[in-house]
Amino acid sequence: MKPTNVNRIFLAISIVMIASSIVTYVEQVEDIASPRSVIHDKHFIAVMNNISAQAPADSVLVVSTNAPFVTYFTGHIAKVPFGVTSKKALVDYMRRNHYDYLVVFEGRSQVTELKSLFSPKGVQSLAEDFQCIGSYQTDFSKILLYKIKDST
Amino acid sequence: MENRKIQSEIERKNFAGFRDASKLDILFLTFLGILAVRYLLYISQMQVPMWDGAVYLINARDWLAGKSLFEIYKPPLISWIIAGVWLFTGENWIYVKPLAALFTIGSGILLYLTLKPRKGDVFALGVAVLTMLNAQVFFYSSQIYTEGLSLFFLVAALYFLKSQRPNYWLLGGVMMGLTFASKYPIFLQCIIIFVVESLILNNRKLITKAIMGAMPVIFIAVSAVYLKTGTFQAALAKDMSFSFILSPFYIVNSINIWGMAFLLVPVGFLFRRTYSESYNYSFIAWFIVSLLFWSSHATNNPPVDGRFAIAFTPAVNYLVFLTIENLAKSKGLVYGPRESSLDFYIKRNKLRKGDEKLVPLASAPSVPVLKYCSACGAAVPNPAAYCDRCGEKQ
Repeated sequence: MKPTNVNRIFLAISIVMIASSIVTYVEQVEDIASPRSVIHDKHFIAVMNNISAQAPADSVLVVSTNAPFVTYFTGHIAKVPFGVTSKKALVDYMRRNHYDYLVVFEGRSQVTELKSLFSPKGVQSLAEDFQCIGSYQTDFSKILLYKIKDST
Repeated sequence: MENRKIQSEIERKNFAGFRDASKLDILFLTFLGILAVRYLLYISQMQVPMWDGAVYLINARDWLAGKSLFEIYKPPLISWIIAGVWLFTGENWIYVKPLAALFTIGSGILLYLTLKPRKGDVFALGVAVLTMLNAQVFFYSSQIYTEGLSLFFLVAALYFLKSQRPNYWLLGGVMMGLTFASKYPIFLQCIIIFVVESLILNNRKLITKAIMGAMPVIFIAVSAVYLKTGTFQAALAKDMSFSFILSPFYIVNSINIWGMAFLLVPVGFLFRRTYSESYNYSFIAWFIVSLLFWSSHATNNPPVDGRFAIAFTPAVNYLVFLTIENLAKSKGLVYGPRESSLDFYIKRNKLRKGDEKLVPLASAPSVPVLKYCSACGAAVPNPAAYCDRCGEKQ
């Protein structure tokens, strides 16, 4: 085979490679974000508006995760309790800082040690110290709003 | 009267360059139109911004409200642009959803304009289209993320630094500063392009101009954040660790990130032509340094995703098309603008080329080949002032 023909074959292969890169991009785009990602959740913003309406203005919300979303869409400052490792420590942390409201994304926690507390079973134990004042279902999340009980 | 008529005819023909535009220019514009529609359709499906997008929105609100920033280590430019839009429209995140996509499409136009004069229409079109249709580029440009913004300013810096005009280098410096303000780590890629172009041109005046352009913008970005927050932090401490042991992430996932076309990149490095043309140096350095930087970063900072590769995707795609150009040219295949005028004349007039006698003339002095054309890589006799092949001054 002449070198020119070898080159032509490589050239053809190269063009096929580029064409395949272009053709597969649509599939690859769909793979980057999970279909269950929050960006596709149609009811998320409506739930955030409800939470915003329930919590008094200027109150800080302690959240299990998703602090930027909660902060932007509720207009309240949202804080993840980093460094807190148990339910008792969470209650102490909230009372010490005068934070009254807790938003739990059921089954999800940015603090590894609190994952079991915010699991579907774990949230039941919150009833001792918190009053559940709202339960919302979005497309992909169950969101619970709690108010801390008085220490007396 | 007659002169005015001729003048207006010339202006009409040159209006926006459309009369002079090649078919490929029109094809590229059509592609951009379709891409813009595709972006709008995709963006309209987004119900909620992504994590960092929400942070940029909060920061924009904080800049407008005079409050302390939600995350102080995020680059400020995107939040300033969002805040600027909201000044006119009122605060609503829907208005800024297509922001990054606009900048990405702009970067595609600039990339095409940068490459077209030197590498030809087909090459420029290929690199720009492949970059715009990269899945990572498309997805993150459909979010309120800084990837589209930084890509635009980085390519704009490349566009201006590839010129030899002092004012363009000043603007190149400004674009470098804006790249810094849009995404801090991408500034390194600007620096690489700037250093390579500076070494090639070795013109102190141009270098000074670029530095004069970049410094005020960087100063404004840093001082604004410092005055707002009392500190300047470019990233979280945990994200600033690098390792000499490189992560194989970008190589292992290269086909996922850049597609099958990436396989052509290493082939490109096998050709002598790749190194004989100084125009390629910035792209080679841009690709290698970026790959090393992010591989070094990825070692200590899991989970890694392909979005950090977006900024040097144009360099990857440039090397892909350089490989194809090398394959086409190296063994006598005819390719685009490098076709000789005689071949073109014969083809256009459907003539046949006569048998060439390759016997050297007895009287012709043999001139030793001691250099290669800096533009096309063709062998040029040492005393020649211009390249016979492309006409480039030597």
